[in-house]
Amino acid sequence: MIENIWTGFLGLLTVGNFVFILLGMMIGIIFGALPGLTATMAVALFTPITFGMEAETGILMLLAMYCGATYGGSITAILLKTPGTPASAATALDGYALTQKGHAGKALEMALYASTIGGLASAAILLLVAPQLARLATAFGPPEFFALALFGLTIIGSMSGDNILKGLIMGALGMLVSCIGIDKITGVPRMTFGHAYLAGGLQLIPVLIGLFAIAELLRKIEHRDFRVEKLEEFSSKDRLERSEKRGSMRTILKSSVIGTVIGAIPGTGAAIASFLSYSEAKRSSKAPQEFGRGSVEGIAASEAGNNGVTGATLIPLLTLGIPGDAVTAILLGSLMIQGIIPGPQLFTQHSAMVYTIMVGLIFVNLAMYLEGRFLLRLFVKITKVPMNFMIPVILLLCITGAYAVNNTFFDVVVMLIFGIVGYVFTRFGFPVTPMLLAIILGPMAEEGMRQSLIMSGGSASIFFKRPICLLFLVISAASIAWHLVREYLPAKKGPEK
Amino acid sequence: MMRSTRKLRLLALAAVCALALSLFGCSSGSSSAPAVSAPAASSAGAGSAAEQTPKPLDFPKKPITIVVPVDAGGGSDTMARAMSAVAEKYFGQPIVVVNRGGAGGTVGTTEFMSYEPDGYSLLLAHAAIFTTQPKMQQVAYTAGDFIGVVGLNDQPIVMVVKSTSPYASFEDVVNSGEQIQIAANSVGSIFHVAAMDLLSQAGVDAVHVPFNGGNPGLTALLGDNVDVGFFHPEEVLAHVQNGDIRVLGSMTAERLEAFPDVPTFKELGYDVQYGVWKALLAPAGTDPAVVQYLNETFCKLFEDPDFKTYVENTSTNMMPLSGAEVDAKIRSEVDSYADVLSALGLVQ
Repeated sequence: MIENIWTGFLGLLTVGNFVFILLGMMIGIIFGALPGLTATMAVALFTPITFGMEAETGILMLLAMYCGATYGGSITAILLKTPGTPASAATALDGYALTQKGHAGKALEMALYASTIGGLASAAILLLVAPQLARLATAFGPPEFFALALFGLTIIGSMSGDNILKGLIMGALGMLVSCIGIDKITGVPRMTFGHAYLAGGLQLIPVLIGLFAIAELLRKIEHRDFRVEKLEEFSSKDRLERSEKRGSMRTILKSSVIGTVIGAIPGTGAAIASFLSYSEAKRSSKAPQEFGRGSVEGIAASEAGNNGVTGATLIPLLTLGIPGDAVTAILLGSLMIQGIIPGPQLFTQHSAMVYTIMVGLIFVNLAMYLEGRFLLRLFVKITKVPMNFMIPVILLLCITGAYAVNNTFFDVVVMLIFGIVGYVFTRFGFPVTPMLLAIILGPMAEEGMRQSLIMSGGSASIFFKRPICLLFLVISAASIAWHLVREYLPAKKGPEK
Repeated sequence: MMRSTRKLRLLALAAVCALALSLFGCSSGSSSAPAVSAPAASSAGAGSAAEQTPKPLDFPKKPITIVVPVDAGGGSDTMARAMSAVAEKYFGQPIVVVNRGGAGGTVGTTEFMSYEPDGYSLLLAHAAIFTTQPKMQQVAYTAGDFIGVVGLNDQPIVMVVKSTSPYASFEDVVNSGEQIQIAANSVGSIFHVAAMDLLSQAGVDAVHVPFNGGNPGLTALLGDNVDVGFFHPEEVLAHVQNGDIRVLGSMTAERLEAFPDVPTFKELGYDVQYGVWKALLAPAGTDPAVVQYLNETFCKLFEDPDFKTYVENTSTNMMPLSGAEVDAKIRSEVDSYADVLSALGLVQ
């Protein structure tokens, strides 16, 4: 093990590796930050360039893009309430609240700090126990996916703000929206009205940009809220305090673990990890009332959670050859083109290279910290531009971003419609995050449940016979009970727990 | 933001330069030929010398777009990007890959119909777009809206079980008389049709658990959630070599090079032969001279050393048909699939 790591480390020490890690990281951060441009797009676009490189160098460059884009999503989420990727939607809640209070620098710093630790923890776990964690991937069959998605949906309770009922209504609407398109189980079109575009279902990115960014722009226009945030230079006043770093450490570590476990299960993803971490941090926080109103802890949880996925998602990819999401599916293609067939024998056949990649991932995260620190100073300046200049710029970015997802104006229309939906609902106190959560988790819950029932011949007993599935059902029930108790028992004053 | 966009552009430029340099540095002298089963590639002229094919009508004057009607990260996408990586050497223009996923490829295909038939837009079509999807949902296109440019590949399908399975051969499955649960991609995929065709011929009681693509199905097989799976050989190769998965049969005409001991289902007496093929199409009405030029140039591109490395490393089974042969293949399969699909009760 130590020998392998040392060999991997030596293999890493080429100029090319470091140059392309730094380059990939910069591209990734920018892709992540721009709304609509995702990690998937960055990696897909630059994959052909890696064909001519050494295998390690190419893969590390793509991994740097992946990690960078996962982090970069937080930047515009914090500064403009425009999450670059769904995985940063939870970051937008607290990050933007902090920006409005003039603490954008603090929020950005926490996002970088938490992303780096989450990424490092995930990379370390990949390096040390990947083969052992491989079993987690196959332990998740359809019933387990259903139960995990169900558990994820219970956190609507902690994403609903003051009124759980309104949150549930939005969640239900989200589930309904996620039903549009070809039914994955029977192949029958649902709610498509014979429209070819609707047959493909609604894309998550345009919906996300609409619900968050466009809705916020509309609100700004309504309130003529064009003020320049009262913000000085990236000053000591707006820096993350030592106590805040230390206070969030527990949350960061816990979220990194959540991210890593979620990442090791193929078919889940960074968005789910980020929401689960956020909800768990809120549950166990000393100041849960701060969440959604500008809690650095909330940012820490969401960002450590989503970057915690980055290393772990390579576990099923490298050990079983099974990609967990779109980015790793592209990576699988790149690996195969390089003549490397991921799977059980990879660690023995290409040991040196695999360890170079895994050790390299640690350096990728360090590069992220360095470049992030450098970019922070630039990004904070965005908040000093008057809003009447920024609104058209953001709108333009949103439109190009929505268009770029699938190169179609249909998605731009979807974005605008969801912008109006988000604006109107927010106006009447309905939170939009539960809707987004349901759109992400609804299809996973539905598919898992229906596959399970096909497997069991229609009997629901399948959900109670399997330990992991049962465990998630129990904690789902506990989570609901906990929300109900909090909601309806007379509010206790003073700290919880 | 402006600054970052500009920076992005600079970086992209730098990366492209790096690519250009590394491309020339990397000439992989791949010797062992891949399992290319080019059936009757007469007019395609695969590998024919003809360095100096005359360019018709100054074509191409701008980048060529390949529309991939599925999301990034699958076999179609990888293939398009492997072609685009070497395209400029052969076309003098880059190839741009555009992903337009959704509804089993039908969304991108429908949209593609409205593209100009000028040869600058090509669709990377997979078989199901014409053979199964139109039977299962209403689509606005027919095979006649497109013309074939060049055949790309034809990937075999194999039937597998886990090594711990009680089934050592396909006969065991048939003789057990038990109901089996199978993973064979999504409903209406070629895998699904092929599996159900075989199992109904053999009289096996099978329940199809639909999975969205090959990987979730493979996860389910490895996790003992289904009994039998239908995959491409390259999807399971690593697990077979490691001894985790056993191959029971292949749906090809002849035994596969990778699994010489595995019988074909034809040998076992079942009339099944299926593969998942892909081809490049153009909108109907594209100038035949342009189509011919595209066909010949793509066939030259297929012989590119870097592209051959891709073919070899990904176990791609190339099928460089001519445009007319692609058209004929689509027409004949639209009919043959219609029968199987209605027998399976999949026609909506």
